[in-house]
Amino acid sequence: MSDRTVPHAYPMSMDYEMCSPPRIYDQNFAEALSPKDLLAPVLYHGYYIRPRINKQLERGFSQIESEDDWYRVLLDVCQFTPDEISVRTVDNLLEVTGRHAQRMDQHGFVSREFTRTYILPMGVDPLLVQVSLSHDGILCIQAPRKTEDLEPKINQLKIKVDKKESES
Amino acid sequence: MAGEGITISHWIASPVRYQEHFKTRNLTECTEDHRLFALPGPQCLPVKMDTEGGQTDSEDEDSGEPLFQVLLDVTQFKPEDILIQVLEGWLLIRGRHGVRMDEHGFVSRSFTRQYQLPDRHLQAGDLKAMLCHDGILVVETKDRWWPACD
Repeated sequence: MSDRTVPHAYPMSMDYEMCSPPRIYDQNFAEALSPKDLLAPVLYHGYYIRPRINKQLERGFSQIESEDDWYRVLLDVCQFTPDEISVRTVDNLLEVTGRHAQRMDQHGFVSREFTRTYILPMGVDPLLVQVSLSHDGILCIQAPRKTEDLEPKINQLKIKVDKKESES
Repeated sequence: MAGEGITISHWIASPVRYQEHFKTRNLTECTEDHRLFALPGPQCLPVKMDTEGGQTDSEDEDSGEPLFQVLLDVTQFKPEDILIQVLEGWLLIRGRHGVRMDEHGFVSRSFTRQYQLPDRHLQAGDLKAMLCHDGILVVETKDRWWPACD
């Protein structure tokens, strides 16, 4: 019972679970709901789920676009203001941290903090990463990606065969 | 003074919840009764247990809104990550999970939410918390009316 996790609200197929999707949703957290935000339950893959009004807006996604010469991460940080977000790279890790102090919303007071770590792929220089934030709260992190250096270095090893039988 | 914690109960703890209900009825009869399979949330009416045949009980008790109800989206958190406290007329909900892997890397989150309770004298024992299977945490008063506070 202790290692059981909360079942996912949207159980996905095996294909979805095994591959890493370029875009994941529902990353906003600690959103307050009111009862009228919950719609009538519907049956989905054998589970009853209650669609929510705030889920239908396409917010809270994280998207990775890995092209040949560009690596780009789009992250929706609409719960945070620009000075509450910091981005840094540690070796080939890209860390996005958001933290906001207690603030009031329509339900009460809330404070949030998250850290999300992406792994930069091969050929991306961590020093060339550029970050921009759009007006609707989508963080765009991109870096050029070199592909010509990624040729595998092949070194054929010679096998030394012992001619003599070992005396034991 | 530290607030008293509220234990979170979740509906999925007992998979076969309406055992008595199934016992007296034919199983094929129950397949069309979707309320038996739906996990009840704040908007679902409770299934009336008519195992005794008498349907007169608790009609008026279950109707009506709870005095105080809070809904919160905690889809990313496990039940053990969530802490609920009552402190001098405030309801504190804390959630924190450590570094965890997901499809895009590693992520850790924490939040604190405070709600003002309608009554300063509300204690942790007057509230109950449910974690519905679709990630909505419901904290509401057990009683449907004001507790008698002298």
